[in-house]
Amino acid sequence: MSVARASQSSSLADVLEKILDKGVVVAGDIKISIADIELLTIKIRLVICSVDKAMEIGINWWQTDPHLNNLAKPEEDKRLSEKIERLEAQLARVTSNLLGV
Amino acid sequence: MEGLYAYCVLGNIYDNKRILLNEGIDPKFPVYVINYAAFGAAVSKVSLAEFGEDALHENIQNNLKWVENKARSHSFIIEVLSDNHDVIPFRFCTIYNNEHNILKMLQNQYSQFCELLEKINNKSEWTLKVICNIEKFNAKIVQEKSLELDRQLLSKSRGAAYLLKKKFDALIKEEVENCLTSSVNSIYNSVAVKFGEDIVVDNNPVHETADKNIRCLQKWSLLINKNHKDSFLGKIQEINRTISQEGLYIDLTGPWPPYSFTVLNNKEEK
Repeated sequence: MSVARASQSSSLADVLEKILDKGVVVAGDIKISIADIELLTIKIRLVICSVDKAMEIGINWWQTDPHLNNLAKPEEDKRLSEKIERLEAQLARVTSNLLGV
Repeated sequence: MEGLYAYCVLGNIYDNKRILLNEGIDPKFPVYVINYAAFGAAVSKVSLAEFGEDALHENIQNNLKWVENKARSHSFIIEVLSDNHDVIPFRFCTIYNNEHNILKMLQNQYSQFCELLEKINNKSEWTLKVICNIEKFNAKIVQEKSLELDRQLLSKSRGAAYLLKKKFDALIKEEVENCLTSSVNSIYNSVAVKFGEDIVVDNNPVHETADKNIRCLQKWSLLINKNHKDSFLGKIQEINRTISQEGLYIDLTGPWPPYSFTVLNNKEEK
């Protein structure tokens, strides 16, 4: 079972839970206020739930947009390849007609 | 103006001011160590234009991208340091004005840091969530119980059969809860008790998803000896293969630096 680095492979909510709620609290000269921490926790949960909810009701355009998602690129490549093949076949037909072959 | 961002206490003796990593949370500055007695603090300079109190407040309020970038960076730096050293992680954005104040903090917490370093020696933290797809879990139980009900109905009078059917839903609900408790206890005993040298139970587990069928039943943070990592991961894999048919799975993250096991008992010592 391979496990990637937790900080990179875990969700932002999991990372923030660790580094905001846990760990040693020492009296730094500058630190985040408790109010800011609470606000941040709420914001993260809202963002995550909004994305999930959107997908649940079928809004997932970012998954198929090749500019936003690498996984969508093969679809785009396939479409362009087919278009090139069609155009090449058409060109071959026109050329052979012109040459009277 | 610059401050000093403190990442963690390092539990080994280092040459003072030795560079540990070339880039800190503010990538312009390296991570280095400030020694105190038998341990040190990993720190790096940060620009106060970005990490000063007002800037921090502004970024946290309005710049989630900045928060994600810096949170992952903070966590990543401590993780890299924990590959080779025992670490006591500080909370996100713990910043000092100068080295003198960091030394004062290390001095004030000396005995507690020594105790914590002994406790976490060669160990790391893993977080387990027992996740249940309630719809799938219920379906299996309904299927099993329906067969049982059909058998029972054969030997009942019409009146008794009617009452039995009426009780069916309540029975299913009770059975689901009993089975979930039993599954969770079984996982707890075969993983948490067997491998965890210390366990922190989260009594209010949250698994962020809008899917109403997905429930986080339990969440534990375990302190695991690094030498037992492979057998621990093997066990999780084995359990997941078995329980996935029931609509359950263990969501595992780690290894984390021991965030949940490095809590100070009191405020700074005097």
